[in-house]
Amino acid sequence: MGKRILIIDDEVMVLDALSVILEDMGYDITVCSDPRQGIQHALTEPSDLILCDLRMPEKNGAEVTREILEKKHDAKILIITAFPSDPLAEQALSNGSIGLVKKPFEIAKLLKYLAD
Amino acid sequence: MNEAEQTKINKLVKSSQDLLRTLSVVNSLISDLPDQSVASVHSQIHRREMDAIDHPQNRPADARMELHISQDGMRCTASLFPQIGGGALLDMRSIQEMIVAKGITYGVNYDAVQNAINKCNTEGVKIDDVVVAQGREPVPSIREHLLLVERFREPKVAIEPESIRIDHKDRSPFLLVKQGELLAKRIPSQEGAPGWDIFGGELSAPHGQVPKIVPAENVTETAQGFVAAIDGRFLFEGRAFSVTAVLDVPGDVDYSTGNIDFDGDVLVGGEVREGFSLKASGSVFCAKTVSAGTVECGKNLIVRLGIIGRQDGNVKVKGEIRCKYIEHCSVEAGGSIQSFVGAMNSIINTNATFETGTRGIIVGGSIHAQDGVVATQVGTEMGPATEIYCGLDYSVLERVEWIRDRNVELANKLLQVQQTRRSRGDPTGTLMTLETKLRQAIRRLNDASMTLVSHLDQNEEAKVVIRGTIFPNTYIEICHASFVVGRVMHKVTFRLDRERGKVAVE
Repeated sequence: MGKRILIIDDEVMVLDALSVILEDMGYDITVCSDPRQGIQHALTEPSDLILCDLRMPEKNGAEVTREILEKKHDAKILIITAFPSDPLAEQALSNGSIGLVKKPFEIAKLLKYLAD
Repeated sequence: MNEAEQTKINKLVKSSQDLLRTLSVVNSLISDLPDQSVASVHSQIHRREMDAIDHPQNRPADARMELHISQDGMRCTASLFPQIGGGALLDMRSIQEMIVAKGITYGVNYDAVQNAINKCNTEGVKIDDVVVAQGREPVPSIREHLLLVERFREPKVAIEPESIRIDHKDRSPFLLVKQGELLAKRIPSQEGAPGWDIFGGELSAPHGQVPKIVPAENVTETAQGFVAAIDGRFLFEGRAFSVTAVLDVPGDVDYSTGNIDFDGDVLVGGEVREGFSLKASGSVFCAKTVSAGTVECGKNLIVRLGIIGRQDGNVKVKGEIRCKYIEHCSVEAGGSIQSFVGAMNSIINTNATFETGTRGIIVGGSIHAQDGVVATQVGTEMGPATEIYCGLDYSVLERVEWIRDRNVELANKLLQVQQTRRSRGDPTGTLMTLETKLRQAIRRLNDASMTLVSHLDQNEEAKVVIRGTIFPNTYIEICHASFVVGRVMHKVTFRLDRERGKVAVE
């Protein structure tokens, strides 16, 4: 079984394409378009890496990061954002996110974090 | 006569005898000193007589000489100490015996020793560093070689925007030559000669090392030496010297010249006008601005003023870039980029460093600089977002991202095919075949992507150095580690903390 990746993003189109690519690479992908569902999944199911969008209507990535890490300290969360200099991105990093991935998604960085 | 008087007389006799002895030696010295004034010598003798009489209590000590031999046996020097209180003077014979006793046989300078003895004896002063003997260094043998004429041996002129001139004079960043100009001479081989140490030991002649340089393109040999075969620019790269063709455009690159594609260096006296392209296999020097044009060069690009893109400019350089400023332009360099005033809203990529001048600012856009960034200011209080990426080879990243884009297209197509097949069926199996082909293509691109990422060249020592101020709305990434600037910071350096995998701020 490959490494498990949980993707929390409300942009379904991007998620679907990303899932196809990562599944082909041998990763086991779970997609949640609702951040609340994403948090629930992260807390109840094992994930090697969580990719979380920064700007989502219901809950932003910084909040998702905080809520997951409060209960699951060893979770590895990468924030996906189109604007990495966004103050919310700084907040997500302060909350414990391991890094930022620029949209549409930087495959080299993803592979690096997955290798780590 | 009482005892006290007798003692006085004895002392006087003794001092007189001492005095006479001194006199007899000095007289012999005078005869050996034809070019010294006899009067002067007499005066010195008189002083010494008086000294002997005035200080009869001084215990006599003989003059002496000490020899110092260098560790390599190539030099012997002496220190001469004068006699005191009527002691014996130095004499040449005893000194000669001393030199022989030390085994010194080569390069003895008896004249220098004799002069020193005379001075010490007559002036009564200590003399140091008298060269008694000097060996001879061996002369290395040198093979036939080429030697550049002096003007081409000088170090490269520093490339600073204020020093850049187009007038082909000494401050030009290019060394321009005329056809027939002498570049190098052939120096014939030279036989070596053995040397000798002061003990008579032979030192064999070594083989001398001379840099081997070779003539290359557009250099021909004549009776005078190696000369330029064409008018052009002198180049010295590795071990080869050559002359490259230079295209001199006195004015602008515009409708009067059309687009330029030249195999060599190009000097532009004016500017590269909007919409025109300039390609050169060598270096390009532009005396004014590059405006919204396409510039590609195989070596360096030097722009005296700015590189202005107006969103369309595209500059690709294999070597280094030096300019005053970069605005709204896409700039790519294999070597370092120095933009003295800074960069505004530009996409800048370099496999080396990006550096501004002492007042330089980076505002907006993104900079990928594998070996780091040095700037005085990044961002402004209300300025646009600025992104700085360091530590990774942007050219590999670009290829990975290109694959990513193609892969997203393929994945979207695959999803469409799957959806169509599910909703409409696939009686002929065409969609299934297509799906298989799309999956294979995605697999191929993924493999390529993973291969590239595994070979991604990293410089974990890359730093972002801020001489002045960095403002919020700036993102810094070093070897994939992220840092968002959340407050105004002054004089800081950002580097990778390898252990924590995070960007450290110092």
